[in-house]
Amino acid sequence: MKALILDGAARGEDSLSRCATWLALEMENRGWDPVQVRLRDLKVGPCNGCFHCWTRTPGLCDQDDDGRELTRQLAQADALVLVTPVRYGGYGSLVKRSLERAVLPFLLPFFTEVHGEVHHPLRYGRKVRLGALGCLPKADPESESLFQKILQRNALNFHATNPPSAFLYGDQSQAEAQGRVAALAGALGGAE
Amino acid sequence: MIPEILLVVGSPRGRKSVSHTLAEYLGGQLRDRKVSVRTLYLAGMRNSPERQKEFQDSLSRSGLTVFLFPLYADQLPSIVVEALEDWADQRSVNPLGSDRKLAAVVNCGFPEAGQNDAALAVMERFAAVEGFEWLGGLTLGGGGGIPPGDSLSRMGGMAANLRWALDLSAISLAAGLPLPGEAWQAVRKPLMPAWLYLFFGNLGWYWGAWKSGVLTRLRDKPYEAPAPSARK
Repeated sequence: MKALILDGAARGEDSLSRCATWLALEMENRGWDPVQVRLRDLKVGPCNGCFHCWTRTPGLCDQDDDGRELTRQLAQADALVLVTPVRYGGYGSLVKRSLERAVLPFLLPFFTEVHGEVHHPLRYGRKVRLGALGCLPKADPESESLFQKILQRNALNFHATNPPSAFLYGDQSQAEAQGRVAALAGALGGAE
Repeated sequence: MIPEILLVVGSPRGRKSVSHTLAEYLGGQLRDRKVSVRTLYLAGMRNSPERQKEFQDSLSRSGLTVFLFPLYADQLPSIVVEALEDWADQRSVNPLGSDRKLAAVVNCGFPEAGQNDAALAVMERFAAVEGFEWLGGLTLGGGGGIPPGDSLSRMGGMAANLRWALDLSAISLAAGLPLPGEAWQAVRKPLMPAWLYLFFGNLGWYWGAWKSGVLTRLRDKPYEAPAPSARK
């Protein structure tokens, strides 16, 4: 089973990329086939909100950049893990930009009900497990709670619930950080 | 009384967006109250260092800034996240003035206004972390029922609650006061019954696909993985 790991470390955040690599190794040990994508090396423009990926070129974004490859990887993945700095409780811009480019063509335009709310049907018909690793300078319960709420909302787009998350802090020891990464990999479950 | 209010339209669609429609109406109401209004658009800003600098200077200096943006994948559009990140990176050379206030208006294409609440909470967190006074926000669903780039005044009775909420908001914002609870409640009232909105919404997707000649391809799966037996 394939796992797509979006590594949203910006320049100067190499330690976060290292954590994404640990996560890939941990998931591999649990039977996953992980693909770690370092977003800062890609050319991905922001979603233009044109909806052409729904009504002109169904399933394909108009923009011919690396965003298309992200959609392809997502369409074939069984799990998606976001590795990102936490910005005001939300995702960093690299992960956010990649996510909005990958997700819209991954969905169908129509409306459907998911856990009591209106969302869009899945174009490929397969649910995707979602998880996230957020990084902050230090513990920040308010931002972490908001981050988890947003992750939960994102999971509804994949018609899933209760996505696991873990947080890393700048003042943490390497052993502690590795423990949290391993716990996240465990919470994502093994590949069946 | 706030002398000048900065409106920041965070939709990637710029002037062809519902956020622009809302900004135009709110801006008109503020001008009627003798407030000077300046509107900046974040669409396309990442390719223009001059526009980035203008945004960063303006956000630091404006007494009151209102962000208006659509919900993208349950959050702020990435162009808004990027603009906030870049502004924060420039804080040392472009410090925030004292007594700066912030508010936000978030809209989404789903009928439930509550789907915007997490995005609004991110804006509130931004305000708290960066030292703005948070004046609150408005969240509205059913954004697909508002003609993008058009005038809200031309929508007649359907948008009466929305206009009333923005009128009330303009009164508070002009005085530098938090957005009133009545505006919050009024703006969350659906523009039309959810079933009708969803019916026309779904019809709209078929219509758009028909116009593009792809009606039978709406459910295409261009990136479908090869069947397991074909995988090597």
